[in-house]
Amino acid sequence: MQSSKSKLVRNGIIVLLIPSVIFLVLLLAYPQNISLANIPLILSQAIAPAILAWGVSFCLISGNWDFSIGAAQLMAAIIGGRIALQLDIGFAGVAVFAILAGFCCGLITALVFYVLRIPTIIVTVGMMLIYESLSGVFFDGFGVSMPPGYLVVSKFPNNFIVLAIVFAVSYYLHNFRKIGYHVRAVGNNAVVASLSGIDVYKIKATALVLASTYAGIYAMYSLGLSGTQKAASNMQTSSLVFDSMMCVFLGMALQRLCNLVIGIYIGSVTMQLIRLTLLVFGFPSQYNQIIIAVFVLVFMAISYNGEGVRRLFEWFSALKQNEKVTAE
Amino acid sequence: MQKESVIKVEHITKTFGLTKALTDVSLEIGYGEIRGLIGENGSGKSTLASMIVGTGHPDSGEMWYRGEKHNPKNMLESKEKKINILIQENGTINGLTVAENMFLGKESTFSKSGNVNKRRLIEEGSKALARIGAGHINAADRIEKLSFEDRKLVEVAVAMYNEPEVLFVDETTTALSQKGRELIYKLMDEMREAGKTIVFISHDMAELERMCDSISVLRDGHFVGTLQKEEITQDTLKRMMIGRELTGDYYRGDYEMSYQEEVVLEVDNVTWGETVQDISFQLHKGEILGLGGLTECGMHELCKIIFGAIKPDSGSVHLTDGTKITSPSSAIKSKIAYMPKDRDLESLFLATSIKDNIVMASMDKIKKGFFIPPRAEKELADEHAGKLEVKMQNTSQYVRELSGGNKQKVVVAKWMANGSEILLMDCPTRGIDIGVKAAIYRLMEQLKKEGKSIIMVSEEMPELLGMSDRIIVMKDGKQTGEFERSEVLSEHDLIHAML
Amino acid sequence: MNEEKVINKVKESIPLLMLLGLIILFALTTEGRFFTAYNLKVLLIQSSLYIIGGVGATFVMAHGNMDFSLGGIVAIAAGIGCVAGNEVTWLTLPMCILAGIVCSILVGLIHIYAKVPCFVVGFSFMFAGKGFTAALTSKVARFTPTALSKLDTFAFYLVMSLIVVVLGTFLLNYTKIGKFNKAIGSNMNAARLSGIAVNKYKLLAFLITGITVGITSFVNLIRSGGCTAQTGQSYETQVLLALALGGISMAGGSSVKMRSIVIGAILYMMLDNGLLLMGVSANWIDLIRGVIFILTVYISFDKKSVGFIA
Repeated sequence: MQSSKSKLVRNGIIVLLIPSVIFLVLLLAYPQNISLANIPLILSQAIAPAILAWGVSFCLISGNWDFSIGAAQLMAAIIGGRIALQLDIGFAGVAVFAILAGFCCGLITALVFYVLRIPTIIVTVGMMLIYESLSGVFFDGFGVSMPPGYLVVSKFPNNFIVLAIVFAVSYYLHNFRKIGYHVRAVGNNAVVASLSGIDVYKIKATALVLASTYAGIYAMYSLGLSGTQKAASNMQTSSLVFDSMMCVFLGMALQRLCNLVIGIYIGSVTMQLIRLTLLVFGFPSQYNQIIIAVFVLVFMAISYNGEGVRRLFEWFSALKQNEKVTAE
Repeated sequence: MQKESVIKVEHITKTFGLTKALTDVSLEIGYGEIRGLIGENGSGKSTLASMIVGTGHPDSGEMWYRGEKHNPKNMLESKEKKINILIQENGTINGLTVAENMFLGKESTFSKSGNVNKRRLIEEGSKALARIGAGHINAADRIEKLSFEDRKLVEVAVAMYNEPEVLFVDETTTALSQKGRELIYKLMDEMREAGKTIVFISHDMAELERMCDSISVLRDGHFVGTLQKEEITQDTLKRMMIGRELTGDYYRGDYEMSYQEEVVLEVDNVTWGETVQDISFQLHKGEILGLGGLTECGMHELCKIIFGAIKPDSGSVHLTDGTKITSPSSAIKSKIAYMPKDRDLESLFLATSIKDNIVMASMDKIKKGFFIPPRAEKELADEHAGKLEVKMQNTSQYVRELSGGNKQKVVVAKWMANGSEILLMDCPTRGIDIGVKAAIYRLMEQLKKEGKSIIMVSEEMPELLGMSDRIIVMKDGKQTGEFERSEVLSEHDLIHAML
Repeated sequence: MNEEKVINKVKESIPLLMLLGLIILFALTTEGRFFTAYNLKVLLIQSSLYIIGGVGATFVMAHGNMDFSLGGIVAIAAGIGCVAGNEVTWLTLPMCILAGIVCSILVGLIHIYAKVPCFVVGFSFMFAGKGFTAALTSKVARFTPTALSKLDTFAFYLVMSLIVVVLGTFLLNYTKIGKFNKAIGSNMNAARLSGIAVNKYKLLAFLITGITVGITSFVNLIRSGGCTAQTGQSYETQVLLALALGGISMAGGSSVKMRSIVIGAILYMMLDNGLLLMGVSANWIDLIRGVIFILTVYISFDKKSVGFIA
């Protein structure tokens, strides 16, 4: 029991080390640009992507795609925001109706999948088109714009309160509710899972509902932060989807070291750090995307090939030994 | 007074396509009994178990459980009736802990209002593991950390947790160490003491002799008989398992071992883990070399190693001119062909035309630069499909629509089209009707006459005896016997080396 | 048995039937505006972008991978080609193709040898591409070399599409590259055991994608007049949509046909084009597209494929 506790601590330190090291380097190299004050900003900018990532993680774990979450977020923001404005019930109204709207979008998407039984990539891309289209139809495509009184999330520490709540809920769902186990079982071996009596399609459908419900939470957060949501078209929302999926992939790569839910947030933080790094180095802020891409690839390759890297190190040290021998 | 039986089956028949897996099988098993079930590969023992457990359904016949009609729709239903089965394949899922695996789907029994009580899962899991004597396994560990044996023990703990009245042990002990086996034996004894029933399916004569109160023998889907404890001897069992007539016309007409002196292929000290241990032999021109043993003896993997599909830990496979076989493409270049045991999974492209399947390994032969002329493809395919008399509408038909026998003909055609000289055939007549079987045997004889060489891996003893010039028998990865073709060579001789 | 054959034949022809059906529908409801030579030309020009890149993507899909890098590579190749072309005009096309090849092969190598899942690599290139073009165009606007603008004719797009489609069809159906990629998608084990060098042929599929995507970026430069931060955005998703509309099997295999991308791309563009001409508001078009997309795949989906659907 001792060793597993100390292992936990060791892994935890490694995980926190990754973003911390990057930040430390920045701090030392650019004392005039970077200070400890940057930390809260980075941490808070990482919140929104993490929320969506937690949602779509259920899908990815169970072996599904979900490209509709960006569009579901769109609908949730517009519908939720509008209703709250109409009823004049403040931010609480936004929260309730945005999440509800997200849930309904998820329900529809899940039903289409469950009934038609065609690949999720098809279903969710199709739903993305449909929801984006609806965003242009509803309210004549004006989207929604919230008055300043609704910008609750922009005030510290509300954003972190939301983070804490959503984190807790996600951690709870993944580790203390059946759905967390069942999505993992289905994703790892659907056949054996079904032999244990699990309805594979029901689990996949549930994951879809969850993802869009989280999109509703994201909608609430973003409305509370910026107050506006414009209609979208031409698959514009897909970039949001890709960003969130990346966070999940990063979290999955860290899984050996720390819990997935934590890992996803760390992944999001790391992506923000890289953006900051490049800003400071004087790169125009757009190159960051390339660097992120390269970083992620290298990171992935290492984590998917832990064995290979270890052997590489062994090979290097063996080389050094040989050198010593021949020198003598 | 007749002892009431816990399981009774009558006139069970089950056919899979052309294969009659079970024909009119009737037997009874009593309370507080360990019943062994033995038979060759394909005798129907696993099929019978699956009928009773509910993973399959009989075509005809009736089953009773504890005096009542028994027709389980699926495995879950029979689990509820307290019938459990331990299987050979993997039944646990990666990414979950031991405890999570054990109670997958049953988490609600430990939860209040839908939460999963992790602590209770681990507690109950540890209890269940301790109960079967596997307390060394930590219920909180990730399942990937466990060895194959320990993972199997987790499955045992799950089964026992259900407190079954009837437990099927289907070839589970084969892959376990002595320690694991003893654990299961202990459980079996305990269950018997408590008046429960075990159906023990195994190839291991020694353990069957030791554990069973009685043993039922199946042969070719038929029920042969049940021996009570005092009547059980290994010889009697073996006699009941085989003992069929060899019809001379079916296999080769001659009884002489014949092959040319020239060696075409050499297998030198090939070792691969524990599955294949230090195997060496030579294949001669014009020879049919049979390779036999029980399913798990390593012969199937050896075949793959010879084809270059598996890399051995040590040793080598090479032609007499020194060319080493290191990959499937190098094997094919050296005109070696491989027909895997599992046709559908490993040698056929099901959703593809017969023509495309046949020409797949012969592209380099018919290509003109980069272009592969469709006419050349069609001619090659038609030629070889015709030679083998594949029953089809035309070569554009999808392979998945063909019968097992014709599918195998397509596989053979593929290698004939490439002009193969050495053929590695793994269970070439598995799941094929008699007519096509005979045709394949004729073909093998023809190839032999033409000076081609064949290694035939087979789980059917009559086939080995009927077709091979020499037979090499394997057991647990090692070579345990080599036999020459002769009129007096019998199944008895082979089975001694196999078991 | 014969019933099944008929049903299969019908399923296979759904995309084409849908295309014909829509043509008739639009011909009837747009009072002749759909069937003008001008409109049809515009339609074909718009489709050509997806057809050209889709030809390459078909090979990767044949062996069972989904390539999300297409849009990112279009962006990178367009950027490089544009910059090079403004120095030396005739360098544009070769540089576009070269960049496409290098990027795509990189995707293939990372996926095959570093064993990173293909879609993860694709995502990374998608991000990289966006960043690249954004950086490139942040201070200076990038225009296509003016000398090339005279290529912006219907004939050009038609010829490019035809060449790529004809070559692609040839490679897919009559050479080892196509046949072996289809075999790998059909049954990787059987392919390996039939002597197919699986990694080599998968890499070749990425090579072909690189070439076609490079050409696509060139054609895009001509069509749009330059390279912007939006170049290539959503391209991969649209190609995926087109392929699916054209009836391709997501798992690849022997049933993969070149006609899927041609029919699918035209169908995809036609919906936009025709519906607009019918007077349908632009907002509803995406919705109709989405519904038709889901329905088409549903009808033509071969449920006999693998166990649990993802």
